[in-house]
Amino acid sequence: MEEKINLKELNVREGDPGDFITHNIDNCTGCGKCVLICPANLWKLEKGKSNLAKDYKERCMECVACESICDYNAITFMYPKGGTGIKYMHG
Amino acid sequence: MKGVVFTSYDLIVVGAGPGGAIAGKTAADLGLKTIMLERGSYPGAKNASGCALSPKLWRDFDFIKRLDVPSMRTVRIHTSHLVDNDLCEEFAFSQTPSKRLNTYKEAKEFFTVNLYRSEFDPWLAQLAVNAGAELRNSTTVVDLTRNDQGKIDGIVTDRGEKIRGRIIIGADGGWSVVARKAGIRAKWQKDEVTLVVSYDFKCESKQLVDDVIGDNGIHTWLGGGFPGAYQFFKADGFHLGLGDWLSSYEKNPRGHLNTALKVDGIKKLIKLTKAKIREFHAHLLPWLKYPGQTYTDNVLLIGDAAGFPCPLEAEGIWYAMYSGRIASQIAKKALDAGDTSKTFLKQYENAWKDSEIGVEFEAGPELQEFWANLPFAPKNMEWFSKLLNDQFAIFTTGEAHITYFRRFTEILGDQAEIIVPFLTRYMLPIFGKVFKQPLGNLKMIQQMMKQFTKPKKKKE
Repeated sequence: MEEKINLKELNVREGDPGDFITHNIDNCTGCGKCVLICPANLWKLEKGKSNLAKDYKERCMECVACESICDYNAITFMYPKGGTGIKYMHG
Repeated sequence: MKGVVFTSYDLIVVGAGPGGAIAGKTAADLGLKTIMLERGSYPGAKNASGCALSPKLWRDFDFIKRLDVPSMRTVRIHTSHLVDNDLCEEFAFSQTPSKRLNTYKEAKEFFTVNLYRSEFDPWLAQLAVNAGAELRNSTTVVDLTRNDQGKIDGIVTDRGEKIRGRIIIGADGGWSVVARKAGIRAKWQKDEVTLVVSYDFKCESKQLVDDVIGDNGIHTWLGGGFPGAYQFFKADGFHLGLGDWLSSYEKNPRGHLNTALKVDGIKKLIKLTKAKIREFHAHLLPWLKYPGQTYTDNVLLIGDAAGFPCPLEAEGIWYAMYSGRIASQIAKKALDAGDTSKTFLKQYENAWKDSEIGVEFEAGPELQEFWANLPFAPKNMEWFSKLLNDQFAIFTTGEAHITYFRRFTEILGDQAEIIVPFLTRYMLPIFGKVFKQPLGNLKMIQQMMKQFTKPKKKKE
């Protein structure tokens, strides 16, 4: 069953959320906690730093776990514009 | 800013989930000019949880008797499944509500009513609107405004609009913008907040779920190397979810969830109800030993924003609704008195501490630690599950029963080094709170346990 799960197809999204996650790369130590925690796999370690997926706006769950787990203030988050982003139909 | 006309309210409620809706309804009922601001395109659009309503709602909120939405399933039986590391069921037990210990009709009759937040939240928010509160959807609050004295006096929306409010209620969930911008809290500690992930499954039909599941609508799956998973059946679907504290995850949360999908019993229920994954959810959920600061000048926090989910199992909806009602009642008193300072608003903290929320947190640290170290600790679940199974399997053993039981006591002795510290560290403190005695008075029990296990301690 696992192989068939495509998150992009599962979740409904609406509107253009604009940018809502900022990666302050100078603060990033490459500890990898954001990579471990992100349920949408938006973060990857590259050259000793974590790197946010370019299409994060289309995949982010807005759970804010990345910002919450970061010890170095390397991730800034603010909820996307009202009425945009993920929309749970069966939450 | 001269010349700018602000819209002005007695009360601004940020977030229109269950807590915000009840805060809004209560305030409107008390005659306050109230607005609720919701960042989703409808209340509930951003919320996900197992979503099981406690009978406490029926006890405390009269209007809930009128609740009738399609996804409701009433749960009378809860089954816990203990899973071994091969993802096979090792031990299971079911409960029904105690008719002796519960004190009111609904609590005697059912554990929960499961339903979708996308149906429940709009229903609740409509009650607030009917009472006269204004609801504005698709509005994210990004900041708070302050007056000349530096006191909070309003909010700023994502469109740059400023709205004045004499009191602001932060009902905006675990990651509360209001709590942050008011300076009440920067971040939760990583052992204060969990990340919960879940799949929503669509079953073939309501009839099939009725036939296969009926009122046995909660299944929990513990062990198996993943943090405790829950399966909450709604009318024609279910959530399969799990969560753990941010400080505890050693593996990606969705990876854990996908492991849970491989559990024999879960696969069986998926097959029997002809279920397919329909949606994926991820949500931050505070799970504290004790709530921190819940108010400041002109600001009150309720529900998840205040850290109220219950310390044993992180139930959040009743806590949000109940604290929402208290907060608006105190807000009304403050506005009538013309004093919305934190000195006055401390009454809110006093009120929730005096309520059942406060009672629940009497043993907050003990309950939270117990949960974190048993259901959510795969290593402890491993020996616990085997012990439970060995004990109850005496009835169906293929050995002489007395011989089997002797072997069981030998195992107890052999594992005393694990079991006794666990009991003294995580179980006795709870009993200490129950009996309102300091832990020192329970030393006798500890001694008894040592005596019981002494003969088997022969490791040199």
